[in-house]
Amino acid sequence: MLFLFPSLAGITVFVLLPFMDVIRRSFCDAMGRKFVGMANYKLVLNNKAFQLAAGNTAKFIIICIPVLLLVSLGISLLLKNQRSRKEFLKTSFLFPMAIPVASVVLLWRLLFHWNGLINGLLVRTGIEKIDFINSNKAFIVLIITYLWKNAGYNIILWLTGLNGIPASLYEAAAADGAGKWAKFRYITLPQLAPTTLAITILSFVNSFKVFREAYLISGDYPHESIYMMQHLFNNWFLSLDMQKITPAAVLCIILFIMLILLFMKLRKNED
Amino acid sequence: MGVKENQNCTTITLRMKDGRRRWSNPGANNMAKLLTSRENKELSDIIDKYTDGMILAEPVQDFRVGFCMPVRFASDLALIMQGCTNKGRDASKENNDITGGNGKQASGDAAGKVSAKDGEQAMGRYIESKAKLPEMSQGEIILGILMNPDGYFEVYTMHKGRYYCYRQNKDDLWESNMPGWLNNDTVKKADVITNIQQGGDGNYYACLESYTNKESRCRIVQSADGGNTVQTVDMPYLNKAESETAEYTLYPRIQQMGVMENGTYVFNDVGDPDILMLYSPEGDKLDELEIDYRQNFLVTGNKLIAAGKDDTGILFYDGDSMTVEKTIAYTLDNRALTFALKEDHTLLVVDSDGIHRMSGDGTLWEIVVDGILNSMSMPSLTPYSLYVTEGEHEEYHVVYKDANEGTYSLMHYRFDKNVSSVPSREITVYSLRENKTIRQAIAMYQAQNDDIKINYVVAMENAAGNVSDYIRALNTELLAGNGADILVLDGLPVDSYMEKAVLEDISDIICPLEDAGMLLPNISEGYHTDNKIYMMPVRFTVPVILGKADAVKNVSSLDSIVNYMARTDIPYSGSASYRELLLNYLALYSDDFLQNRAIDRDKLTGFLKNIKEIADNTQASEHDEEKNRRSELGSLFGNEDLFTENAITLYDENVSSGLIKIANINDLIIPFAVIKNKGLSYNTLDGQFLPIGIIGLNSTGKDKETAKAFISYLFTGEVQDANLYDGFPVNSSSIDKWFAQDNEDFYVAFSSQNGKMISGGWPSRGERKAFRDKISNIRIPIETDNVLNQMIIEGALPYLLGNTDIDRAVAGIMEKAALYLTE
Repeated sequence: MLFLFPSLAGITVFVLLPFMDVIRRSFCDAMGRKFVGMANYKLVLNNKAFQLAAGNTAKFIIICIPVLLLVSLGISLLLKNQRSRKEFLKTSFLFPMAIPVASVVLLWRLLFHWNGLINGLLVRTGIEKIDFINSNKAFIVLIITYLWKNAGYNIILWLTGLNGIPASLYEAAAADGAGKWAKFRYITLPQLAPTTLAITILSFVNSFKVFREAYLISGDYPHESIYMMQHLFNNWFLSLDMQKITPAAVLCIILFIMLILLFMKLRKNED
Repeated sequence: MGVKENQNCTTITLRMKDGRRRWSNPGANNMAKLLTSRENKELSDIIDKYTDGMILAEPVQDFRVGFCMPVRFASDLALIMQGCTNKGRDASKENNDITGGNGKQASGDAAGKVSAKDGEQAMGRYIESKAKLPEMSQGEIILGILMNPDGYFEVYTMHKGRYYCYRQNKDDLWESNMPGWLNNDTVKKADVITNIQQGGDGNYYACLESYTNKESRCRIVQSADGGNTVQTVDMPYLNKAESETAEYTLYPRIQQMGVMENGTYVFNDVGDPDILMLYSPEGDKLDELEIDYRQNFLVTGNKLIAAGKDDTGILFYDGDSMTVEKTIAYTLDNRALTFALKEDHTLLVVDSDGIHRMSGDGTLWEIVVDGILNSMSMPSLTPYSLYVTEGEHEEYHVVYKDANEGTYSLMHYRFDKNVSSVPSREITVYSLRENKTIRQAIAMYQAQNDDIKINYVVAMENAAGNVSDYIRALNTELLAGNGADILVLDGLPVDSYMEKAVLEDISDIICPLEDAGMLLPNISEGYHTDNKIYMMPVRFTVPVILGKADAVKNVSSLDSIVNYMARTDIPYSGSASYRELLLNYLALYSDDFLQNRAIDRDKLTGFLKNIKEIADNTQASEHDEEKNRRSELGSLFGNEDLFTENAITLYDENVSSGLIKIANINDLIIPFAVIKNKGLSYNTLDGQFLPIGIIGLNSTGKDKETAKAFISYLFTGEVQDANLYDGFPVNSSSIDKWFAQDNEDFYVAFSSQNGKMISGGWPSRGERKAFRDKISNIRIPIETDNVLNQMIIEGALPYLLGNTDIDRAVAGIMEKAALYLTE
């Protein structure tokens, strides 16, 4: 308990107490002066912008996390079996993490702008231009951004997990005549289960950081396909809509807690 | 104080504490109290009081003698500890960081007597009062105010072609005479006298300017025979034509002048004011110096003190050796600096921050008079000269020039030990951008209320950045209950603040003013909401359409404009950028498609089609760098940069109309000249006006009474009478005064891009009355939704450029706008 005290005190002061105030305000008017009961929650749940942002955020998480897990696992498997330039390739995949978001956004703009490089290439090959930023394609751009940025980190985590699998298991399976797929199906995947859980949680947390890219590419009001919860919070704060932000924040936290409990239950089952 | 002392660690902390540690606040306070007590010779009494006789009387006496010797040092140190800034290290920025304000917070006043008891208020501060000037006849104009070597003021005036000098005597009375050196034929031939002053050689000097149909000339004259006669100084530089055409010859004009003790003339030319020139009494050029032309310079003895060009600091130039002896670092602001140099080489500088002082061998600036609390921070006043007189405490006189009236005033700054060092009541006014009227009112109000301090926080002062970040920062403060007492709502989310009860009903302030007929009813009535008033502008400007009679009549909607365009052969207006066109017409006609926070798709389509018609008709372009820049600013701050077309365009080009903005009577001169020359007419735009400086009261403000009193003061004639070129007054009598004012001497001329000249004088009584009548009929405040406007502009630009079709552009706008409007 004594060792826990400093971090507990920090979390209490900087997270728990402010969040208690958020919960209080979620039942009050915008300036937190008058109790309004559940009215704010009704207001938020009926708000179309909230529904859109929540839907987009959920869609993004549901699509991105499995794709990221699969892509990074695939690359890490290739890397594990890579004999030459393995370290160089590993480092290359980590580069996106080191590049500042503002620079990355500049690059994306250069690529995906109406008059950008990709549209330039499309026009040269006789294909019509695509409005990547102000159409449904913006969602794909955002997914690519997220994968590009986070794949390297996940690759390292997968490699750590892969390196932790004893080579003797593969040797024994080979002696029993197991092929590559059988080894992957019956040795690699089960052995990676704890790693998978950890990577999923980290990817889930990182998925919320993609707002920075979306904001820097398209500002406060991007195309509706990439309008995320953070856009909404940002805009509500600008117009001082605390009666909407606070219940929305409470709802989000409830959802996150439920998801984390689910992950924990899964882990328990794994154990 | 502790933090400020840390800024000066090299000088004080190292000496006193052998390390770059800073005092704690209580520690620094206690030390300051001890030092000032020692200066006041009260230290031993305090020691006796608190040690209850434990320290023997005799050693205390020794201590007093030994410790109190360097009284001047004690005083200096106390002053430094109370209010040091290091202008050379950009102290204003450091203040900004400390206070979170605009860098113009009081950084300390002259230290006064401080009680030893903790928590008791420190006393003593310089107080401003208006110095009594001689009684003058009606129409008598002050030409200059100066202090003679005896320490008495002399006021030079002109009335009905005669020049007078009023000399102050030791009884503070004024003795009038007509100086012979000014009242003679040589001087009378001149049209204007500028720069009357006493040279270092004891003679009086003046610059004379003469204008004829063929030339304009400037001469220097000096008094002779004890002031009875005049001599013209032979200055070859002034006889060399600066520009010469067949019709007119322009000779150099002097902006400011001084004469050294050795007779060297120092002056700069209006045509090239950055260069300060030094000429010998014989007229030979001796040297020249690059200076900041916006600042005054000082000639004293054989020394010249001036602000160097490009913020290089204050230059000390020696007239004997003709070299710059030293340069003192000093951060200049945009307002004029004025200098004074004492015999002990103590330098005093007055600017909008206050009076700064640096002793002859010192390295630190102290602010002895806080400019925030008096006239120094008034935008309408420019410090012209500074005089110091010795006494128990130094006293200061500052001569100001009033930018509006062109007259001089004299203010006296006297140390009052009975006034608290820091005013006990304090309120804060917040605005995104500087507002001159509010700045002026703050200075005037504080000058009248010694006990009140008003902090003016200008969030985006000279700073670039995203306006929404500043609003978020403000919202954080408002939510924490720490927001400013008064909000200037220009560019802020007004509707949201009203809806969230951030703004308090100010009908108890405004209604009495309305009932007394003080406010223009047609302006104020637009701000009544459900029997409440949450805001009121302090100024307004009037958008006007100027052009052919038919064009002026057809502005009720964009459709009528487009129909009119179809019937005429010439362009509807001068060229503009697409962005500017959209901003202007959105401000005027967005209600056509936006009702109750919902956009009508068909009407928006019609609106954009009409804009496209106008853009094609006027050959609008995407890249009009200058106008684009203005429009972007407009989109950030609402109304400031709308309708920026120049009336000269209508004189210069064959176009039907132009949208211009009238903020004061001077703005009417060229439009009326164009109307006369081209047979045009004008009208307001369906009675719409642009509010400026919209004031709101924070419902969680800490001192609402003071805030309300200040808001009430903002609408008084005292504040509203001043013309700061930022809009018309909302006070009825003030606006009537403005329109009643005759100004026969006022005349302006402009040359257009095509070389056409147009000139005009002050509007006639009839013209002024006609415009005043138009003002009586305006009653709709233009309210812009900057977020929505930005969406529409971004969505419409590809359509106007021909990169997309109307349906796609409207769909894009509708999608984003729907998101915004449903949030």
